[in-house]
Amino acid sequence: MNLVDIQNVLDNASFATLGVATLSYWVYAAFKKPKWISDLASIGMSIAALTTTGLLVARWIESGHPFPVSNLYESLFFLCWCICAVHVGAEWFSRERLIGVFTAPVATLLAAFASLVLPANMQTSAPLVPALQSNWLMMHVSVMILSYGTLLVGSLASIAYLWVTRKAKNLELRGSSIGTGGYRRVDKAETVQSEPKTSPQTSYAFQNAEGGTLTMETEAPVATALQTSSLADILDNTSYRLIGLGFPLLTIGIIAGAVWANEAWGSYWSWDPKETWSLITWLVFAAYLHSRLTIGWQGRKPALLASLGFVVVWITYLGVNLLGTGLHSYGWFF
Amino acid sequence: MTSNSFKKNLFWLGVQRELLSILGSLPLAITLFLVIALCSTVGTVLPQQEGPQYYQQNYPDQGKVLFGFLTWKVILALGLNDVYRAWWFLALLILFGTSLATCSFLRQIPMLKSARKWRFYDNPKRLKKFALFTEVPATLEQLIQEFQQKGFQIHTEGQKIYGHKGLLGRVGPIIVHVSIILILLGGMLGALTGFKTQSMTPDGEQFDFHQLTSPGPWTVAPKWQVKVNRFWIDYRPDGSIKQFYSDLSIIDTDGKEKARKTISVNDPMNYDGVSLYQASWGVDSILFRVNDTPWVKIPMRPLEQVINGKETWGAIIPLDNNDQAKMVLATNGLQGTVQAILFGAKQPIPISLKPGVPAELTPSLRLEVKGVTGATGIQSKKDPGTVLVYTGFGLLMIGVMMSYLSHSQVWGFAKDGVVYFAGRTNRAQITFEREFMSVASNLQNRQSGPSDVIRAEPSALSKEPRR
Ligand code: HEM
Repeated sequence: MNLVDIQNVLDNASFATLGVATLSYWVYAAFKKPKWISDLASIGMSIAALTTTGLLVARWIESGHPFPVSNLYESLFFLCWCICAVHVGAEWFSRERLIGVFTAPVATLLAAFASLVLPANMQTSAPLVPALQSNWLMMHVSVMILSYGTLLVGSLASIAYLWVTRKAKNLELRGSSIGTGGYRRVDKAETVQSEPKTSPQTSYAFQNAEGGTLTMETEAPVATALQTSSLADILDNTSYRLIGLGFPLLTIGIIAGAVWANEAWGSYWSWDPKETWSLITWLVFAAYLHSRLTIGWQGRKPALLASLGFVVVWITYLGVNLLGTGLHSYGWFF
Repeated sequence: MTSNSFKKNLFWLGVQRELLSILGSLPLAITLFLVIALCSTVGTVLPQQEGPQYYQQNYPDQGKVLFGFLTWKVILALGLNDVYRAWWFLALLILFGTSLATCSFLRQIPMLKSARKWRFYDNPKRLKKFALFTEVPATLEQLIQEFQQKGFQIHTEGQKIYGHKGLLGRVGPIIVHVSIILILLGGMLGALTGFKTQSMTPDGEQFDFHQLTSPGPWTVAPKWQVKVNRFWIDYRPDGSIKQFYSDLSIIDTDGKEKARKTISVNDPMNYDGVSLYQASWGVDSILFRVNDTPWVKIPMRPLEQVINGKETWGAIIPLDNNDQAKMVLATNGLQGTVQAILFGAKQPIPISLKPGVPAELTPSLRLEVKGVTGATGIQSKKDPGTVLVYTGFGLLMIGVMMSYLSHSQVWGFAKDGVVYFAGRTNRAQITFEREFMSVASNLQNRQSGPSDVIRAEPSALSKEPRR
């Protein structure tokens, strides 16, 4: 079996695994059982992360050009890898599987687009044009795509949050940069919490998504019950942390691009459409981060901004190339 | 000072304060982010910097008007043909920079100052206000140990403690904001005192900076000239271009060579604050003769059609007076081969000419090419703002990474064998919560012994996907 065959196998395997993972997440979300199907979904995402890694490694060995991407096919699979990897991290961090309902189909569509829709001549690797033979550029492209992956999973967590809270009113969230949520909220849970000393049992109060209270009991006594995060809180904070990670990556990616452009073309900013859209993406996510600092903006509004960011990332990544003008029209990527 | 003018001053001070607080407010910043983003999209969908005729043709004000209002008159009046240099766009950027500066001084520096303050509480009522608050039978030392293990820096005052970590997470945004001000200032400096120009120079000739296309108001143009000693292209075996090279010399006003370098794409030359980049290229001319005539230099121009799937340059040589017989010379680049096509006979006759190899059409008609001369497109740029911009870039990268850190604070005190403690963080809510829980349960375990492990970890509660 040669490298090209290996690539074909891994390409199809990634697509198939992601498809199975997506269906599993959806079945689990719809019926809330069986438990094994949610495990299957998670394992599927991890396997897809491995098969896409293998695919990309085989591709780089075969083509001989340095990391990471020389055309749209490689770029799509790299983004697919990023989404799988960030998803696995997010699931581990949040201990929540709901995000997969949204991330798995996006990864599946990427793999499907790369292997089924893209014409065969755009899938094979090609030598680099002179303008692209630069380390800054490699850094620029890989960090940009990494940031897109992180931001996409982050905004999908916000979309999951919007889904979970679609019926809730008066949300008060914790986890904003000025620490508005650092203070105890007064709700029904408080009654459970205020009597722990007399009770031999400890109660952990959870406000569940629909606003009701759900109490988990543990046998051992703890002096005062702690108010912990609800599912909505967890999704919200996961989204915030992921976007908080994607934003520096995007910043570094844009700067690497600007430095490269200045070294190669003599201008660090020329308002070419791809450049402009990456700035727009940056501004939208900056707006998201700042909306979290604004007391009047807690709850669903930042999540709506993150969803706007989801759309904007796609325009920046693919949409601008469809316009097909400007400095970045060398090839079908970055 | 009369009391009246004093009152007036007070009034203006109030107005000033009010204005500053609006200017430095977050809702304004968020609005500006989104408005600038929205305005920026215009230039990516509307063709930019075209001539007025272009807009008159494509955006008529009669008949089918785009979106019902987008006529060429509207476009030109609002500067939508060059959005990023329109006065209102620049004004937006300046407003943005001002808001950023105001915000940094009015809001962030005080925020940092207050975040650095150590506060101690020994009133359970105070601590209970925090979402994360608990009380466990333990000693103060145990509490301190637990928090130190989690990386907190602990300060004590009697039986009270204050602990914190991640203070850099509060410094990060300030660095970010200052660096963006630097980048904006650097951009402005570049626009005012720099220049950027492009010149197409044939192999062996010189260019200078007497005519700059759009210099800034305070731009000083260099006096020296640039000589193109040689321009060539490296091709791959399959005919695709591998790299472009221009061997350049800087010639001062006395005609002396001051510096020399061969530049290529991604490898420019720097001299006297000016950078010279390999930006584009073309075919300038060919040396050509018929039979034994002297060599004639025939200028080549870019052709609309693409031949062999590549860019093509060509020239048309009339062979008679009524435009019947003519010869077209065409080439794809500097590899040497020139296509000559003779029109006028029944069928066009194509001839392939290699340099130095005469092609005999008939015994009395011989065509010959001596060589193809290229022209190199050099972009020259002077931007004194680059230092500021690059400093800003460096700081921005550092600051934005620092901003990921979460600033966590904990307060606690001991009374009658029980420790009371509370805490909060500004970003990593979930992680902090788990840390806090783990401190609580570790203290509990110390009291009750490890056999009696409690399930205080929130993970035990939320491992099951809940919906
Ligand atoms: C391009 C412009 C800007 C960028 C890239 C930027 C970036 C950032 C970042 C990355 C943070 C940390 C966010 C977080 O907590 O996760 C931040 C915080 C903040 N920004 Fe900005 N910002 C910009 C403009 C502004 C403006 C114009 C204002 C004022 C109106 C502002 C006010 C603040 C405040 C008050 C904080 C909170 C500081 C803290 O958490 O300690 N920012 N900014």
